Amino acid sequence: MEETLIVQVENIFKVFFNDANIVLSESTTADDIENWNSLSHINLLDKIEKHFNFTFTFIDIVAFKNVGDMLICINKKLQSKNN
Amino acid sequence: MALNSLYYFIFFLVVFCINYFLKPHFRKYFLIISSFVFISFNNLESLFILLFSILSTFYLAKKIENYKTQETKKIYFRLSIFLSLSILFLFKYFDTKSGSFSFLSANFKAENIIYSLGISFYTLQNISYLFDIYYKRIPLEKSIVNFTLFASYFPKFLMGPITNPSDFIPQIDKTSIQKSSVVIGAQRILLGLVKKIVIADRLSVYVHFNFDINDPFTGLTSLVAVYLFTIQLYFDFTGYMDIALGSSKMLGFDLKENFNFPLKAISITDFWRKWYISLTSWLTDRVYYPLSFKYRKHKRLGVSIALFTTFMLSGIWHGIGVTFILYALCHAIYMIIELYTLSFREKIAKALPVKLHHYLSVIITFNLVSFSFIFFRSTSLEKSIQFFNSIFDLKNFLPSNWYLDFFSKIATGGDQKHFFNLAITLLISSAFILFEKTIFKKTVSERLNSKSIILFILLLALFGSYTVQEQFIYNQF
Repeated sequence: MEETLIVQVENIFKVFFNDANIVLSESTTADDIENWNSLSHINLLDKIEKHFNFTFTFIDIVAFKNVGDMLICINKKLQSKNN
Repeated sequence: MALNSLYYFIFFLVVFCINYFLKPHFRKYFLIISSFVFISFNNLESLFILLFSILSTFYLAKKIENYKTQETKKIYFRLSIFLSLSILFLFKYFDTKSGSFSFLSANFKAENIIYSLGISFYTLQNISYLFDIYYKRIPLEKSIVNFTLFASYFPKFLMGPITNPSDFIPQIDKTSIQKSSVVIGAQRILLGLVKKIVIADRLSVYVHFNFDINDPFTGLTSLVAVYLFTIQLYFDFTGYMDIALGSSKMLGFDLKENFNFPLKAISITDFWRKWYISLTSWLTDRVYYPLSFKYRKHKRLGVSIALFTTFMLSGIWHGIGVTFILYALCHAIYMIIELYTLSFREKIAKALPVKLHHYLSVIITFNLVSFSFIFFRSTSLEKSIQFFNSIFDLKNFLPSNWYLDFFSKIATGGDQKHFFNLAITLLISSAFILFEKTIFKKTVSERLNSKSIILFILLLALFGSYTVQEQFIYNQF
């Protein structure tokens, strides 16, 4: 996983949750971040889509168990966009 | 065979003893047979409907998994969901006399429905399984024996908790039942009996008197009756869950908690995280989440559409009659208002002292929930409207004669015996609400808690309501 990708996603999290102390790792889950619930999750995905300029499908997002899964999916989307 | 009946306890004792001493490999077969006996004892037709549902779900899940193209998977997925829902609608809502679906009908008669036990609950479980297979959340279950036990397991069969296959199936081939599980399970069953027989069934007398026998009395009397119903429903449902989870624990299976002290919720959103958790999780994962994702570009409007649809489906699932739809509509409106007032409420929270804000939030939430339960409890829409009119008729809110119009109405009679019974019921209910976290912790402790056991047995012996065996309220769903 590229270092820059997790940093970019981390910055989106920091702005979205208004918390500069958020540190993401691949094992981070919703339980680790305050206010990351089913409602904010949808809005967060919207921010990520806008930042990277792609669209998630529902099949993509149901597979997310942690940030690591999310990064793998983002990486795949970016690669297919560049090809 | 209700979980608070003598038959159930005789049946359970026999099943527990055999299961405990049986070789682990045979337990799943024995529990399937026990579950079939349990279901047949209640209603033999229900067993055949269940078997059809098990076989069709198991077979269609295999089809979904085995087909390679996404398009074919999608066709089988939709077909399987349609079939599950058709079975549910046919056996829960189809009025055989009028030949129509009756969930909005005011003239519904239970005898016109082909009764199928537990169908609302196992249908949702089967849909969970199909959903998880289609979205590749869990591996396909290859053993029909394991899947049959998952679908028919008797402690959760009548009223849930609605269980995810990934939480249940891995426990099936577990080798041993810990002694501590037996202790926790038995203590939990006792706690459930106290909640049901000592609290909910005693409260039921007052609720029944105010809701069913008479027209609403003065506003304050009606309001107290509504509060009493909220508390009755809570103890009735959590009492059932304690008996179900306790029984299951003694048989070697952990089922998920269905409640997390919801009467102390600080908002409606918080209430739904704590009340009937298994249904909320099911609806969140399978309805709310896909819809809010689909409409995410519309921001709060998209979330509102998702919330509205989710609660409407919850209302239809709950049962026949417009009152359940209105109950669900009430909560959809509450949730949407909470969504649009989030920043305003955050400002209020910052302006008030923390404790004051907390207690105010609990009181407001309790009242909102109680008002919605007027629809849930009323036998007709007219009755609900009468109750609302009575409560909000501010001119006649306070009784002119407190003894005649309030105390004797709430106590269902005016002599000392009635007041004493009411006082005892309120005292025990209040104690259980105030100290419920401590009571729960002690009950699920691995150590045998003799003080709690003696207290529970004394409460059951001295104050249990045994004259009429009340059904669990959620049994009707």
